[in-house]
Amino acid sequence: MYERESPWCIAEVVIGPIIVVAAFFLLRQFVGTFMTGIAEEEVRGSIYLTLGISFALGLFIRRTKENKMGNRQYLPRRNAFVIRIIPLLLILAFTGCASIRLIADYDEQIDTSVTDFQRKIETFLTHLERNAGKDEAKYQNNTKFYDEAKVDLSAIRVRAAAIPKNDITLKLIDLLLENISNLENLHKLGISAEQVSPIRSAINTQCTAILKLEIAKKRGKS
Amino acid sequence: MASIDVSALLTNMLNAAKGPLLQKWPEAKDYAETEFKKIGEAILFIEKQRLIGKMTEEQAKLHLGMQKNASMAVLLTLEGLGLLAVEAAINAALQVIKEAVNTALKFPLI
Repeated sequence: MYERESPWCIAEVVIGPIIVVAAFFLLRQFVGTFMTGIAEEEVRGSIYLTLGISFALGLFIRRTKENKMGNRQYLPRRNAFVIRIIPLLLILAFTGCASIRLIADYDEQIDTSVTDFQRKIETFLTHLERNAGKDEAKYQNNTKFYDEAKVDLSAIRVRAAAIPKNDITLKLIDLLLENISNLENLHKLGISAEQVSPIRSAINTQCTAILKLEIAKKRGKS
Repeated sequence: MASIDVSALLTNMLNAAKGPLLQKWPEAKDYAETEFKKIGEAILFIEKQRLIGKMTEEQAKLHLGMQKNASMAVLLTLEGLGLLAVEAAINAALQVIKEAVNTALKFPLI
């Protein structure tokens, strides 16, 4: 039986493990967009386990039911080899997939920086409200605030961009940057004391949005 | 080797996945309602200011632009909260698979 299929037997022994390992890493790349990092031990363990199961299963998958004549037929070795690969790749994928990540992890620095930024802008808006109509509140005397605010947000954005799967937070920061520009343009046109209220509401909503998402990324961990 | 009951496994997976999704929605709903209410009040105020002539058209556009960005921020956060809920649901289901397979095989394959 095995003499006739010796080429396939040799191919399976030599090429089989190479195909399984190569396919694992390809699959891992695909699945890896959702996964956290895999430890080296997990990869090695998965490969050894898969090879062991592959050869053990090879003894059984080739057997089929008895035909009408009562003779047991054997699946050709090449077909058994192909059939074995698919479930084993799935086992490999799941072996590495202990959990998935769809969004970035919590970052304490972003949390702290946005909280500090909100405090800074609230101080500024209170200053505008209190001094509306006076020289202290004129745009020309407050350009430093806008420069600093843009620098602060830029630094937060750089930090957020360095963290994988953080697109939503990046968009939130971009919206906040846009509103700082809107505020600056409004300031140039003039802001009365009562008109600070909707500005404060919008900025606070945005800071809350960033912080709410950031805190939720803790995923129940303290 | 104990066999895996597929229908029980499916039921357990669905129940595990449902939990995080149901748990997160009320909190997300409260947050969205509060924030959108504030945005609505701000827009109303801007409209009134415009009607009584205390705000120019250009100012009103900038104010409304700020409210629009705030609304988008709330929606983006809801999207993020939704992703976290889906992630938790998928991981809960994966955990069920892991436990079922390991129990059936009587050793920690996964």
